[in-house]
Amino acid sequence: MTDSHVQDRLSAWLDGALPLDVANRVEQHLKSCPECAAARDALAEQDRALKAALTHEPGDEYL
Amino acid sequence: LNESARRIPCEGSGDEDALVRSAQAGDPRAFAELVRLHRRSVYRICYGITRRHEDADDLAQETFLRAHRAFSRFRAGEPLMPWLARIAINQAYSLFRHRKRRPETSLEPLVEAGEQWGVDDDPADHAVSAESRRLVAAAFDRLGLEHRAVLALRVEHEMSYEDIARTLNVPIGTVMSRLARARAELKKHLQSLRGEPETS
Repeated sequence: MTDSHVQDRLSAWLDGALPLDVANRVEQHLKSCPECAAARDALAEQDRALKAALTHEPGDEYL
Repeated sequence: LNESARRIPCEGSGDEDALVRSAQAGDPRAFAELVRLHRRSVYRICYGITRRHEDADDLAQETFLRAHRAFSRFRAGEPLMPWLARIAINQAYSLFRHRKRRPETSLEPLVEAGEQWGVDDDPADHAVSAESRRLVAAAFDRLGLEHRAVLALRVEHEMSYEDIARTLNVPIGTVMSRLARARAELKKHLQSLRGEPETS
């Protein structure tokens, strides 16, 4: 599995949407590839920031 | 009220299927309860796509109006939320088409996020988080609606791939590939906004 292949799968891996065997291969690769591990961390951070940007509670008064 | 409507508890029962059947049988209280149960979720999906309270409010109201008109066509037994979310997203498409532009950037979420910070948090973290949110919001505003919708459903609303597929009426494989493209596109815009060289 190349770095490129792992990075292509990071979105689905973060969502827990990969079949177990593929997810296991991705996890094994991440342990030995700093570049892909950094891409995983960056994507997770991007998701966290996006969730904060998109979340809005209108409050009990509205609801 | 007919007999079946009388038998269905309409306040806080949590039995969505029973409420749906009762509403389809003509009980307005059952539909009102379904609105109450799902109003927050529908609003949050609308806000996740538009990032404007006024638009989210309008879209949420329009979603329930349209849902009420079409409610006899909803298949009882299926989860209601994906169906409501699909109506909401279709309304967002209509809104964007009508305006012929992407939604305006708003600083509202940033201000609100700031108000949610607790007193025990590290101020240094606030600065990083605020900048991060500001940038990602600006990058999100550059995305097309297809990518905004799938990201809002997954990242903000934490919907399962199965429910997103049902909502968007596409196969699960399409949800997976669309999410990967949307995240990659968002990353590209973030790099552009930061003045960084684009990476794969």
